[in-house]
Parts: sequence; C-alpha cells; structure tokens
Amino acid sequence: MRLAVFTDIHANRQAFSACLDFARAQGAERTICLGDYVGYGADPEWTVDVVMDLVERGAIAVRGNHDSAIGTMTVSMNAEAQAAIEWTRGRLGAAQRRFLAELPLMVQEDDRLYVHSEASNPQRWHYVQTTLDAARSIVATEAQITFCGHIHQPTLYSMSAAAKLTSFVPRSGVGVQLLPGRRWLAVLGSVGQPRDGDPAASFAMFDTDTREITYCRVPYDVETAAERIRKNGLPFWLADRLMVGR
Amino acid sequence: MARPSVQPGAVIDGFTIGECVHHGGMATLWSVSRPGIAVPLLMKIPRMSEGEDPAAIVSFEMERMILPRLSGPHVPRCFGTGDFARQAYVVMERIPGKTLYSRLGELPLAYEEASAITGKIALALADLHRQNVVHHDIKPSSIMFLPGGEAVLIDFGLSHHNHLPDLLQEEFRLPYGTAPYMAPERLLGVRDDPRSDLFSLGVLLYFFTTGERPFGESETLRGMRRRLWRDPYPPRKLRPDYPPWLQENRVAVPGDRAGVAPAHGIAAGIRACSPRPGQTDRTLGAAQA
Repeated sequence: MRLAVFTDIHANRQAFSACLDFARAQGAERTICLGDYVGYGADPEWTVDVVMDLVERGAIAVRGNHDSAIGTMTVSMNAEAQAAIEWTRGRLGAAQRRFLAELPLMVQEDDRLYVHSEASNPQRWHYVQTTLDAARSIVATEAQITFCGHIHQPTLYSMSAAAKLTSFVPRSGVGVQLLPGRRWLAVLGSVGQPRDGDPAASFAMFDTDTREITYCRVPYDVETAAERIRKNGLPFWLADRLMVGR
Repeated sequence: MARPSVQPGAVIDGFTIGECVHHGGMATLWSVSRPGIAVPLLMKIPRMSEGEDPAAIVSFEMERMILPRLSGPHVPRCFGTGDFARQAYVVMERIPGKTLYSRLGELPLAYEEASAITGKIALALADLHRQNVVHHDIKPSSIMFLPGGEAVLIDFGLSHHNHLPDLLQEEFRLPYGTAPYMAPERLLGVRDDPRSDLFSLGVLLYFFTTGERPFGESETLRGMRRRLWRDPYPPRKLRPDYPPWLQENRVAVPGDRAGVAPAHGIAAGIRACSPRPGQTDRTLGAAQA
C-alpha cells in the first residue's frame, strides 16, 4: 500500500492542495498526517476541514504543538507564532477546535509509528536535530520505522543492530528502501513552511510492500499563500519566509 | 519463516544453488541458475555468523541498495536481492574470466599495455561516477574485462551513492577499504569525492608499471597516513626509461592531484597521450605543445 505522509501543513492551503494532488497522481492509497495543521498560514479553517474529512475516510492524524496551542495557553512559542495562534483560535469553530484537541500524540500501525516531534517524550515537542536526538527517539519505541516532522527539515536517520546511527539528507524523488535489518527515523520536511532553503512544499510517499520511502518536493503558488498571510494581518515575516523556504 | 540452507541443489526465491566459487572474508559466492535467465549468475551471500566482522553486514546492505540501481556495460547486472529476514543475498551476472589480480605475477607490464588498461578502467569509472556512485575499492581484484575489452567493476560493498544513505560513513571509526589503494581523504572521513577512485587508479597504474606500490603495503593507520603529507617517488626514479607521456599524466603519481581531471577526462587524456606506432616522445611532445 502506498502511503502519503504530510506534516507541518500550517494552514497553507496552496501548498497542501498541491501536495494532495501530487500524492494522488503518485497513487497514494492512504493518508497520514503528522500534525501542525494550523499556525503561521492564512487558511486554518479550510485545512482543518480537509484533515477532518481525510480522517473520516480512514486517514491517521496526530497532534502537533501548534494544534495543542489552540486549546491551551501553556505551549511556549515565539512572538510571530503566538500571534498566528491567537489569530487562528478566533477563526476555528468549536468542532474544529475539539477535533484538534482530541487528536492523539502518537499512533502505531504495524511496525510504523507516527508522531509529530519525536517518540521519547512527544508532549515535550523536542526537535530532532542530531543523531543523538534520533537515537533517543528510536530506542523509545518498538517500531521499525518512526515518521515525524516538527523541525521542517527532511532528514533520514537509521540505527544499525549495533546501535550505530547514520543520518542522511534525502534527495527529492529518489526512493530509499528502509532496510529491515535496521531501525529508521524518517523526519519529514514541511508541507506549508519549508525551512531547508527550498520553498517547494515537502512530503513523503512510503510503500509498505517495497518499504521504499520517497521524499517529494512540490512547487506551489507561494505568491498567493504569502499574499493571504499579509492580507489577513498576520506578521509579514511569515509571508516572506515562504518565498525563501527559511 | 525458516532460513533456507545454502547448499548445492537448494532453491532460494527461484534461484537454484550450484557450486561455491569463492569464500571471501565478507561473503561467499555461489553459482546459481534460474529458468528464464540465460546469462550465468552468481549469488553473493554475506558472512553473518556470530563473531564475524559487522562490516560484512553493513557492506552487504550497501551493495544491496546500490547494485540494482546501476546499469551499463561496466557493472554486473543485478537479478535479485534478498534481505536478512529470510536469506540475505544479491544475485548478479557472472562476468567470465579472471580479475586483474591474476596479472600481478607479470608486473611490471609494458607501458602501453598498462596505460591501455588504465584508460579502460577510467572509462568504467566515468560511467560509475555519472551514476552518482564512488566505488571506494578500486584495486586489481575489483576489475574484470569483457571479451570486447571493456572494464567491468565488481564489489560495491564499500561504495557511496550520492542519493542514498551512506551506512558506512558513521558506522566505523576507521576507514574501510584496501590500504595500499586508499585515497588520503578517506583517512579524513571523506566518502563523497569521486577523485578517491582516481587516486586508487593512479596507485594501480604506478604498481602495474613499476611493480612497486607507491605508498607501500602498510595497513596501520600511521602507515596509511603518510600519504597525507608525503608523495611517492616519481615512477622514473624506479624505472629510468619511464616515458614522459605517462609520468606527466597526473593519474600516474597518485599524490599529485591538483587539478586532476574527472574520470572521463583521464580516459580521454590517456588515449590522446599514448604514442601511436612509429611515434616517439619527441614527436609526441611537439604535437602536444
């Protein structure tokens, strides 16, 4: 089965639409959403509605820190992110807020684990920045493959049977087989706010039969997404950074 | 699922096991056959018993990832792979003949023959590098020749693919490879530079034309590190008749790689520099001036 795995959509309608179309064209049969559906972008209502609809049709969705921040004031964020969350909170209806609040932090399916930040302490929203961070997450689970997001920079980590770690920045469009002899942490890039220097939206396809993961980059209408952020009175930096993917 | 036993007559994923043709330190090689595949086949099985070098497993993982992605006349075709869950193996085309290692008793070779061999290997490396792969174990026993003369590179267990995770990069503290042929940057942990293969090719040419390995045979880290700061003797010091057209080709002195050309440039350069019948060094020098 071909899975389409999305994370950090951040209310970017143009990016998410482009990725969904791309995934469909690639033959995606199931959708996995790794959280942070809102925050930063100008279309939270549309985005949450789409994710709710996907879940109703069998998709898996977990909760991210921005989704948690909608229902609680205790998640610490920078000023721009906080401004976007407060703006978003006023836009979402009660059903949408309840949907976000009730999402699980982690979901395990077969030998795969889906989580927003990392698996050792998912409610603390740690970033996976080094092989040490990756090791902490990998040893905390029984899963052979963990999929996560949160840091907005795609990286593929593996741990050998001798507990040696490797890290690799995946190349777009090149399938990598996640060999069964080791354990893997697939950190995905962001759909709606890439930060690896490439403004194109980022997600991944995973084939459960061949165990091949393909990181995908999808160009989208960045101008419109940025313009909507400005028009809605959100911090301009949130629009500017989309143009450069930083 | 029970692990199938590897012995003559056994069948693994449709491949019938024949004779064992090689017992290596990292893997064993078996001749195999499968209905519908006309070319002779080899099945490579990593050594995985307790106490075996863990590098055997990692290098098998690398070869299993890389070999199926390669194509062209300079690599063996891959016909199937199996993973550790049942039986780890790679099935590849069996290249007829012997490796270049079989020529070691004849060294030093004639300059023209050694440079022709080097040119063919450089062409094969150019094709490999074009496919984003650095071989990292270029040495006589990794090189074979087709009846038509094209070089074929074998053994991709230490290779690096620019588009795939490098499982060897962080797995081992010491660089893996064959000490006399190892490029200096490998000792510093660099595994993504195709020039590492060209360094090994230079070692091979030096060895095949002088009978001496330019950096000796030391396998200690200290011994290998000498190549970081010390050039080998120029080949002409070992053979006074060493022709300028060969020594001045940068690949002949592996330590001298400033401005070294990519593999395809070296192949073209060797073809252009090799003297044609009746041509002397003087007329060649005039032609190049």
